Amino acid sequence: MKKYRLFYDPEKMENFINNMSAKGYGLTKISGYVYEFTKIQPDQYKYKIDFLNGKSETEINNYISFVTESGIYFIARYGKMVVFAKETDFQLYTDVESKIKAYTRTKNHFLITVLTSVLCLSSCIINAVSCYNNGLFILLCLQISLSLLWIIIGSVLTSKFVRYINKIKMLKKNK
Amino acid sequence: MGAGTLYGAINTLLDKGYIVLYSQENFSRKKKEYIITPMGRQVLLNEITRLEELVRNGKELFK
Repeated sequence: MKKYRLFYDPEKMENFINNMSAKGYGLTKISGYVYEFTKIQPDQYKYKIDFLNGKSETEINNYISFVTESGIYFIARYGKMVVFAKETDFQLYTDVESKIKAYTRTKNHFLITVLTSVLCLSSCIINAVSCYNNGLFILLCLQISLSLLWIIIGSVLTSKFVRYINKIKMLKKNK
Repeated sequence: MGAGTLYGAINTLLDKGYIVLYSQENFSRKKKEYIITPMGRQVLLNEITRLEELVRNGKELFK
């Protein structure tokens, strides 16, 4: 079974996969916004997403084989995003220091999407200005509505991003 | 300890030269064994001495 979802929040992404597991669908593959599932026993597996931004290909492969050594299953990988599962609830990072590092990597992963939306917004604005200068008013309306869309997406992303930065700050404070 | 945390800890010890790879299974499981280096042992002993001193000072202060 395939599901199509776009996530800008790593926690929501993880909750989605775990909720599917509770309904009896186990994740098998992630490719961009396409999530593939297969039938499993409801709640057979608990899932965790790990963002390995900044790690090389060799490091990622070493890490995956290390984690699978400890009885955790490697489920799927998409770019620097890796999904693990286990029959029982588990944690990949158990101390403050490694949690900070993991959250920072996750933050960097989503920074790319924030920057992309800013880039899209600025190109829409530039297009809108050139449409206005050339008197193409129908296209101008289109560009303005696209710009508005990107402003909405960008602000949602930024607020999530700021929340994540605060979370890392809190962890550092409690160290 | 979480697998991610343990992985980071082992790599830190390797980078600092406190442990080295001792043996590695190349079959189905890539199980690795590490051994402490003379430097690692010295650092460990120093840390034990430091902690003992900490406890001793604490006990003396709150007798």
